[in-house]
Amino acid sequence: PICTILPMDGLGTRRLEVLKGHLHGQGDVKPSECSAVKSSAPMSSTKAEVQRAFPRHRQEVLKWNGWGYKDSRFAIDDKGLTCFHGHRYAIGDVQMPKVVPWMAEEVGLELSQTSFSQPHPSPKELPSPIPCRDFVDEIRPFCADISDEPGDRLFHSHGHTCHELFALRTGKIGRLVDIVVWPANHSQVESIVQAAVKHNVCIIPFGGGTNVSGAVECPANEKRPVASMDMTDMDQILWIDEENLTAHIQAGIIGQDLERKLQDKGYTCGHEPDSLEFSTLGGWVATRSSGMKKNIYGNIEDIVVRVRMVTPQGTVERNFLGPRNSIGPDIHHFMLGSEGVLGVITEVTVRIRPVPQTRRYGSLVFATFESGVAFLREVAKQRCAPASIRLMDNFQFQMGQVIKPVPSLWASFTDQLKKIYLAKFKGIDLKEMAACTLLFEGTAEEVAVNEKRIYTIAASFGGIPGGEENGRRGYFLTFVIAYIRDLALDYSFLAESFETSVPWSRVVDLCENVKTRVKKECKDHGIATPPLIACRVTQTYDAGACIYFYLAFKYTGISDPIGAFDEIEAAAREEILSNGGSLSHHHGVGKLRKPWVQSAISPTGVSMLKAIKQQVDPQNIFGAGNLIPT
Amino acid sequence: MGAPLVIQVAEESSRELKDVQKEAQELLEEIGHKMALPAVRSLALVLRSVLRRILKGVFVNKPGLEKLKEAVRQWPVVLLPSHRSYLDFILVTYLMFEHNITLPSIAAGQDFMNMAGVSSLLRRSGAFFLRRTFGSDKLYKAVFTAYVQTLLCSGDSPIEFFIEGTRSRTAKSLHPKYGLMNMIVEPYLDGRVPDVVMIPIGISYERTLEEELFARELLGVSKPKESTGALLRARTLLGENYGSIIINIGSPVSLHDLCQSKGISRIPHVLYPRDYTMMLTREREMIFDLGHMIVHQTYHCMVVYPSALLASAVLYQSRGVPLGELVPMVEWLRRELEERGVAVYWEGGDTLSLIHSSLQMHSVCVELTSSDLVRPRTCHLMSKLATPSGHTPSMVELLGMTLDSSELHLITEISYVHLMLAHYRNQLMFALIPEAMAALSLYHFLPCDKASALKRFDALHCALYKEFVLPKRVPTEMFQDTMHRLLDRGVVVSQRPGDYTLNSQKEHVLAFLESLVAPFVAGVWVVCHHLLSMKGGVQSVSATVHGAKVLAAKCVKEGVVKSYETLSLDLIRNALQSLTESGLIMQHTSEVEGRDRLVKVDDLKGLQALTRELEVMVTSGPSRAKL
Repeated sequence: PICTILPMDGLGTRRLEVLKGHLHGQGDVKPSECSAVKSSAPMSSTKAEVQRAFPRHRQEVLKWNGWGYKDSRFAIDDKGLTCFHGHRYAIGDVQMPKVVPWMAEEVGLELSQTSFSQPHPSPKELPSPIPCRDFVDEIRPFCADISDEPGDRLFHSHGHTCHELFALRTGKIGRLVDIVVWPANHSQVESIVQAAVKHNVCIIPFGGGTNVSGAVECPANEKRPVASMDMTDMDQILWIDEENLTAHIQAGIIGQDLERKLQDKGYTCGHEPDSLEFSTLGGWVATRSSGMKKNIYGNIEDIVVRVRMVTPQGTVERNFLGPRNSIGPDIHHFMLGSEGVLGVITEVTVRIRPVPQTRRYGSLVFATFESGVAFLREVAKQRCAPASIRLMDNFQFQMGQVIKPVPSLWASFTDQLKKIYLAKFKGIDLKEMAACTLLFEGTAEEVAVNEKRIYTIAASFGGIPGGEENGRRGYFLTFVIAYIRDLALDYSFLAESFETSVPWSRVVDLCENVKTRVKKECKDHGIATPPLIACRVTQTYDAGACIYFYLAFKYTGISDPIGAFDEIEAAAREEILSNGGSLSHHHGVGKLRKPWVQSAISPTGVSMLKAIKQQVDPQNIFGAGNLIPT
Repeated sequence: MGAPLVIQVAEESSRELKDVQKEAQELLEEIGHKMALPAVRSLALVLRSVLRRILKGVFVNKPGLEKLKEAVRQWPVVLLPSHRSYLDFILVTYLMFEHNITLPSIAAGQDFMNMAGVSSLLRRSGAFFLRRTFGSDKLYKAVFTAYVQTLLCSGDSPIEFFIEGTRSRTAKSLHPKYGLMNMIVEPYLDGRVPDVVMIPIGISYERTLEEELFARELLGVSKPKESTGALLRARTLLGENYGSIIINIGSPVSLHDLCQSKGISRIPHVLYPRDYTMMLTREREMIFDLGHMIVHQTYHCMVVYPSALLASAVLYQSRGVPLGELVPMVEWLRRELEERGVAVYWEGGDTLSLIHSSLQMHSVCVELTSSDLVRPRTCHLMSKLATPSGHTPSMVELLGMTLDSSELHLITEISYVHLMLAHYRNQLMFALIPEAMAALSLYHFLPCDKASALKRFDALHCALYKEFVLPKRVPTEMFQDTMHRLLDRGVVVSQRPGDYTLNSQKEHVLAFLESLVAPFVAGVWVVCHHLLSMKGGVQSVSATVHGAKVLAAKCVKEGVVKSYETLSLDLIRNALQSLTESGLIMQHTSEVEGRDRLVKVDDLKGLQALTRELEVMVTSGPSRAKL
């Protein structure tokens, strides 16, 4: 059949799953079997038996106070050896001896200065929910699930900004959502929103909860009951249109589930944000997310063909599937990046592509970050960027070298040889060099042609090929690097990442100036050891690039670490803007970056947003308070 | 290297691109330094031995040096020393060489380029050259800007330049020059550097090497063109005693912090391409204030030597001070300055011996007579001048008078020594100027009301705007601040708000303060009269300056004006600038190439009013109170 119709009813599918599970002799989906992510990228080729990565109550599998899976984490043992626990990722249970000495040297890690998390707060430590019985009574008959369990409320009340995690870990729990609801389809969402309007309940849509902008945080002064609308029960691919290569999908589907399900049919969506394992399709749309392979598949705004969003005034949608239109300002742009303050995204039609035949990694070494940027700029100019092309600064390169198991004698010998080769024969300073990672996708011929072109351009900028393995490691590290923050938080560090997009002409200066500014601010805030401030160029465009920063510092001896952190991060943001960087490339505004929105889009721009908000949601039902300055 | 601009210049002048490129290359050769350590090392060696012979020592503040060292390691740094001597060029480099700090690239005036050997030596010690004026030479400006900005952005070495543009012959601070300042600020606004750290440095000389040269220049005995020969003749210096030098490094000023505090955002610049230079009005204003601030801070880094106190006392009583009276005068002055936060260099030992050693060092301009009278060296010449006939001539009479050349010569010789002394006295000017101006607007009029004092203060501000680095804004605020200070110190008292009366206990303070600024006001007043005598006609600047100088000489001779400093060409030129600034006169650029600008009175009534206002302050007054 050209068009595969999948069952509309989510409940029906789950029943099927359970039945299937019984047939295989498994009573229920167990956390340990929940993921197939073992290869370098989560987009695994092993056929999954399960339909869903997580159970409804995700905290059973995922950390309540950190990134990712409960069973996956970095830890340092008594001998000072770093180890990644868990078998979900390729580096599972391998000891990495170089991490601790390197961190000690670079950022002043001291194993005695621990700051482990408080235990999960007991129910009575949490604020009791504001009751909303009428609302619950009205939606209970149709809503798939409703919960006011403390664990659910806690999990749905935070994202992954540094200050949210720090608060959780230090037991400073603020305002929590009062109830969590799980709709199963579009019409249920419509009914719940109507009930919320009727009973004046605030709704905060919840996808993967992986935002780093404070977007799902409850506004502290919200007096009404707040309902978190967990979308992850809406995880069905409703249809696939193989002639037009589109698929219509419920917005709550988790990225890895989406890819697995599509790949089972021989297709891919190709959207790979770093949070792919945990974030949802609806979340991508609501934050204007960007994927690693955007050079082939486009960013989320290029991928979506149609979006349905439920607002208090009803559903907004485009009633056609044509590839382009000229009907005034694109209504999609009121939904893309709306950050849950205008409505909730329920269904999305996306473009899909056949799974590529060939995928190949590559890497390059450049004498300096500047020459690497010049190379990227040339690649962008010639419009021949492979699926992904990234440039890591020296610090990130070194970090990648350190997060490695004990090398065999032979491997360490060849490593040494490579170093000598670079230093002596190519005149590359290991303390200055930058590394570029490449991912090629397409047919075998396409990949071969693309590779040749890229390596030729690289040579003219002094780039030296660094092998496929280093490239593979580079991309794989993307998925474990988020776990490193939790390790840092265990040893008195605060850490965060942030991003921007900037014209090519300012890339190098922006990176340099932000680093300088952060170092100065840290010093001015009395932070004794030098901070970690590293960056990489993660995307290339015709007119500029996306830059991603990592910031971490040890807060030992600082009386108000999170206050200092906020000020340093704000200074970094201010420096980014002063150097021609955008307020955000793909993280979104949330609450964290709201103070800069007006200067970024002009007061008139803000008043336009406000007018839309006022018209669509006069009662502020979608009251997360993101994006639009008050 | 500024490639788009090279193309633009080629297009505009319809010249071959490669010719323009070649010219740009040559300009770069002309400008660029060729820092070479061996040269610096040998220079340091020579300098060390020379300084040892003529100086007691060169002192530097260690904490300042540490801060400088740290800043150089982290930031693009601009060193901004005061400028009173050619020695300034090498002193900072020498200091940094001795302390193992990356040596600076120094902006030097192009006049050095004509000195064979010296120019190449300077080049090799890090000097790069700039023309005094860029004129309309777009290419030169572009190449020079690119050169300076590359130095700054590459961050290899600090940049050093003299914000005052030239050596201050009078030892007073000069108005800042903004050309280089703009070039330094631009890269920050455009995000090419994260910050620029500016470090003011005050270099104080106990005895300025060029003291005689400066006095001669101020009187218009033309400055010998810089030549190696002249420098070699300067070898006679070696037999002299020049006391010591103090290099006081001020607190670093962060351009970033300054911009933040003034609400200057870099964001407007990100909407333009990188090579698109533009500067907003408020950024220009910021740079204007920054220039003033740096000059101010540089001067506050300066240390006052006892010689400055001695010179002040001698000029206060230019007919001679008995040695016995000089001691308490100098001590009193020291206290007054220290109360105002001025650092006075005071070696151990009693005041009298300090005065003796100072007298010895400054024997060129001051003498101790056998009757223990301390006076300007040329004091005896005063008696040779025809004594004023008791009748003080009017201005009209003076203008009609002739002065024979021997008299002019005599007067010039006297004022030569006076100007040398003034060079030292002026070193305490920066700390006292507002008070001195207020004192002059009060002293002869007490008791008086605030409105009339303010009116006179206004007139002084207008007359002295260029002479001293005064704030551009309406002087009311400055007057009020200063009055607060004078009232706090009890120099004047106020029975009722807005009314000032003399505190007879402190009359000497008022008298001394007034005496600091009076010569300058008298000078402006003479210039005003000369301008009025032009009766609406036009005169070239040089003729105006000469005319005013001759008039000043006549005034001095007839006792109409007391100070011999009024003959200073610098004073006259500044007066013309101040009057131009306030719109009273106009200076036209002559249409004939190479011709001087023309001066014309623009606002006759205004000029007459100002002249009258100054006249009351200049010509009235009892004899000076004892300090």
